[in-house]
Amino acid sequence: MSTSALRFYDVHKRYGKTHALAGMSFEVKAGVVTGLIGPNGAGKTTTFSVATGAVQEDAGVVDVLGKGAFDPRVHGSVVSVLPQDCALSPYSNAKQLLGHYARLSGMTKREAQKETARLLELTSLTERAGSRVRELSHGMRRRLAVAQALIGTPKLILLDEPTGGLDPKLVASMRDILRSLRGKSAVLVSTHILSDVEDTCDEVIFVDRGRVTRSGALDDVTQRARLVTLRVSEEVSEEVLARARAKNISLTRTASLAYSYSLTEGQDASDALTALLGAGVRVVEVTMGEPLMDAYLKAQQE
Amino acid sequence: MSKASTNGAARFVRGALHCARFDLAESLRSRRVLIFLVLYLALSVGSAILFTELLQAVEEELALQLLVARTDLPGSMTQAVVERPEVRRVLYRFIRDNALVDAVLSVPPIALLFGWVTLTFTPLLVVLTSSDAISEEVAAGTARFALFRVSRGSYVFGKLIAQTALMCVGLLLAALGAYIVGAVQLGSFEPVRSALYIGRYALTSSVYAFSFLGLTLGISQLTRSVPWSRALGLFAMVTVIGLERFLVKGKLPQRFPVTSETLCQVLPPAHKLDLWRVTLSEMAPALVMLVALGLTFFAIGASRFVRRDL
Repeated sequence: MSTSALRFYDVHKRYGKTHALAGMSFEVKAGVVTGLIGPNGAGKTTTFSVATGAVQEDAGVVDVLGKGAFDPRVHGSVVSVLPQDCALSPYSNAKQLLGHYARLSGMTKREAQKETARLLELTSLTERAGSRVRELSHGMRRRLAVAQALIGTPKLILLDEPTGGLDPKLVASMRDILRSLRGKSAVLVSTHILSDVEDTCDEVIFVDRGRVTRSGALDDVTQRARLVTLRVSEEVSEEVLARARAKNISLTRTASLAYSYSLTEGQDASDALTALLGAGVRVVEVTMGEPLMDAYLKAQQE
Repeated sequence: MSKASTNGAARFVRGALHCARFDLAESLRSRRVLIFLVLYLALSVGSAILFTELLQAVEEELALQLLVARTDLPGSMTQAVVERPEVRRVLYRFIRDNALVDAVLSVPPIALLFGWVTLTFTPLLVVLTSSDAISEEVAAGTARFALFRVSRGSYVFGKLIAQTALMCVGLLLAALGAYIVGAVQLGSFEPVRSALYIGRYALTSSVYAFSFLGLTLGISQLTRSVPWSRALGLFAMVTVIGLERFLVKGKLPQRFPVTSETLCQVLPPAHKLDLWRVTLSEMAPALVMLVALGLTFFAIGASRFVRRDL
């Protein structure tokens, strides 16, 4: 059995003169939550469209769950999607809509009813089950759209901007939902909100201009095991930095009042902390790794 | 047939029926379908009322000419009206088939009117109400929630089923309206014969309009622009009707009779006249051809839809 839930290899897609995908290659592993991050126009939505067969690639290989390119007859009940900016049918109510999609996914009427109730509960929409879609707020519609993507037990879930338009409380519950999917489904989440990725994803894929600029486990990309970042209350003098260097602790100023250094064999984070505290520097925060934003910006510049 | 292909066909039909049922329910929940049904009813009832008024005026004139007492209820002298040689001559000019003229003149007048109105206007109503049935959902992205669950073929076939059902509901309502107006307004109303003929014309009109529905939904699959699908639907309908007129009445049939006749066969209006024939065996070729044309137009659109980017 393939451990890869979704694989793109050198995929190209053009819209007229625009090269939306220019050799996109990546892999989403089974049971892993992966974040797809990139600027507007980087090719994220086209990636989703190609992955779900809405758009046909010009060249390259797309493999979904080891069974070739997406085909609803093969993947219909095991792959689900939350497309971006797509309107739900306006005149049905939340319950009818989820019931319909559950039936389309191959469930019996009874199974569909049960599943609908579960998903309404999960997305806190039980009280609005009888409301027509057009009567729901933007956030509620988004939750309903997320709910339809969670019907059944999909092996691959593609979520395009799942937290867009949600209030902070719902963002938190959405993150809980994403975390709960770990180990059960492969999830590819496209988002601009990096804190969502840091909070929920195991792996990240940075994309720009239709290709991957960097990918890997979140801990590797942010160097969580190798990089120590220290925030201090005042700038560290050259003398203190030189003394630290003498102890093989090479501190680099990364931002105002922020210094980082890469751990070498046998070192740990407390070495730098001890060196600075010993020199009378007030350290206000110690973090392992660099912020995802920094890793992302670096990847975009490379 | 192998088990796999049987399962595939069963899945296709199941998906299409789910899509059709949901589309029909969604239409019934929207106000749009009310407008659609009101249009059918208004057309049928309005034309029936106008017709009975016209019939009354004709009968009054006839009573004057024949020096008999005029009646208050229109239709009391219908038989006398239809037996007038002028009426037969006018009909013959249009039909050019004596057997068909006899068949038409034997039909109860309200049913005759209903048949003429629905055969003439249902294609237009179908184009107006169904031309964006697919393009609108593709444009709004609504289709994508279904299209990763069922095949595109299944989805559009479901749309065809739903729109056909809606059209039939509209025609049924129109038939009911015409029947009630006839029963109330006409003096010589024959309840059973009128019901049978109105029912029959509702059926033949639905088959005739189905060919336009196939054309309209075929076009709706080619574009994701709602205004374009509406404009193209109307354009296609006008073109088909105009082309048939041209092939029948223009100079082409005189110079190239076989070509004209052959080309005509793929145009629904060329089969319209045969829908007035008396027996089913006479009508059957036209009915089969119209269904086949509707399905062919639809399938041409579908063959593009299943491959194009959404």
